[in-house]
Amino acid sequence: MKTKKHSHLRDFYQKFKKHKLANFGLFVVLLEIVLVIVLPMVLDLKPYEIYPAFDAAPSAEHILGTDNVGRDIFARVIYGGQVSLLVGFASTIISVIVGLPLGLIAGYYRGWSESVIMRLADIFLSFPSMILTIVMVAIFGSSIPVLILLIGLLAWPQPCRLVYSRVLSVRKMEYVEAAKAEGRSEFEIIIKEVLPNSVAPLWMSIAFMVSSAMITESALSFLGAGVQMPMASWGNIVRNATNVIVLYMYPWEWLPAGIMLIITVVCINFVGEGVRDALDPKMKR
Amino acid sequence: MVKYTLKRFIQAIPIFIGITLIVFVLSDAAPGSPVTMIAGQAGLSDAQVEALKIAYGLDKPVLVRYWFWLCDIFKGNLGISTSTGVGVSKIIGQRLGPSLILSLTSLVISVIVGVLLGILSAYKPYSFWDKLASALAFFGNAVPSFFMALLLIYIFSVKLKVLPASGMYGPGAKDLANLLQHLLLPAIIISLQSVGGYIKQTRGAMLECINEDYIKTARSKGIGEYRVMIHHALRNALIPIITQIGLSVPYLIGGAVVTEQIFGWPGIGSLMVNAVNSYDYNLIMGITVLISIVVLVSNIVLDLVYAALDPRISQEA
Repeated sequence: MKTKKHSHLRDFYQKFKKHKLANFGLFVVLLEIVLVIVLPMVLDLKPYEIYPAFDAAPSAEHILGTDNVGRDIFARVIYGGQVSLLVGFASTIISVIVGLPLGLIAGYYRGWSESVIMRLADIFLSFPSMILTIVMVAIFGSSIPVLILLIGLLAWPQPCRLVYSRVLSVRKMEYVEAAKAEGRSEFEIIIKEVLPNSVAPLWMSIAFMVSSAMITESALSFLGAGVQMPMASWGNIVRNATNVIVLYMYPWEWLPAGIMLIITVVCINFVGEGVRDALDPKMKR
Repeated sequence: MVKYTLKRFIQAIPIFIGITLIVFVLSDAAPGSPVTMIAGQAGLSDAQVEALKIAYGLDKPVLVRYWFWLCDIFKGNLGISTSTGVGVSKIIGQRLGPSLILSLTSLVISVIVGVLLGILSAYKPYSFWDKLASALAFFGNAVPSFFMALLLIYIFSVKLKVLPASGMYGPGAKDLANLLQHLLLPAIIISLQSVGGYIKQTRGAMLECINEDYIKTARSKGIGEYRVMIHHALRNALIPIITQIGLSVPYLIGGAVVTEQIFGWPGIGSLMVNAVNSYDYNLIMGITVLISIVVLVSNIVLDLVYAALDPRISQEA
């Protein structure tokens, strides 16, 4: 079993290596993560400091200029990157923590647990999640831990459905039957046999879940319902451009954060496509 | 068929109660009730606040109040919006039209463009059109709608000054041409987000069947390529396309929150943002009721369409 798993991993690596865009995307995202962590340590970045010159164009002192109250845009884009990336990855982890076990239970036990869980998933998927999130944010506040929890919790149906549909076929496999015949406990069968064989669809979509969580966070922050000033996130930096004068006269105040967001989302999606192609048995490359 | 429809409706009732109960209890847990707002403005004493709470029935447990609220709903009474003093159903009624105009326009654009590009890319995979279509799908998915909106406003409203940046009508104008000018940018933004889904579904379903025997038979009979693609292959894509439309229906009502907000479009989505910002719980509940009814009814209609297309489904259930 061990050697087989190892060769799966190597097989995956071989296929992923050939996907140029995915490797490029992975490189860019890793570089971004390193930069948003390292730059604040090396450079003297003050994202909350208010300088006398507001709405100032890029200069040697402020390489991306300053915003409408005089904060350094470059520092804010770097700190905003920390927040946006953190929310994207952390809320995806939350949604997997909630959705994965529910998908396993619904698919393995079927019956009433299946009807309840999958109907609930249908409702969550069909109800406009942006509206639900705005209501929740109004109730629970919009600190970063709350945002991560809310975005993650509202996204649970996707990992749940992905795992559930695979479990439906895995539970009928011979190795599961064999484990049952051996008299192993249900919990052990689910964790050791069903789970490892049901997560592939989840891996194929996980990058897209991260990027969509980042888009949700930025949209919320853009609306003013997410990360609150003076804290920075890419979405709330762009929010300044709802002022037509900022939009027209001071593009350095909103373009960099928006472009960083798009680059990040595009690169994460490239990685996602690479992973999907490498895991998908239908792809012959 | 009638039995199947009835069954689906009965199944929808607990879901309706579930959604509304969740939002009701959550709003109840939120800080800032209408009474504390009135009390703050009028400087009432504690005893007066208590009297007010009893008058509004707010001294009762949350489940009891939910029951009263539910009974009111079935009488068609959604209550009064606390922030404006106008009936909730009246406000929602005013906003429903603009929401539908915007969302139906975007739906039509994205279905037409998406299905056309899907057909073209299935007809010649890896051609220019196929690449264009997948690029459009990829970037429509990756560029956040608010950023796209800002870029388009920057180009078309600020730089070129050809399209308005905000509102549904210009000052004093109420004609169709004016409406279309205001409609164009937000409708393009919303359709960009969903066009990728239609491209993928159409392309995938058509490619799946293009090597099937019945397509080969049709070709060998000498039927024109156009007829083969449209009458035979596209038919296979019909169910996935309908599914995609069905899934988008709930988003037609209030799903375009961000776009409505940026363009100042007077729809349900921006109404919900206002309601949340002013702690107007009757209005929040009213919009929730509207959306959940639309969600449930569209799910049922979708199931019925499937059942009509594939009779095995209704017999199974």
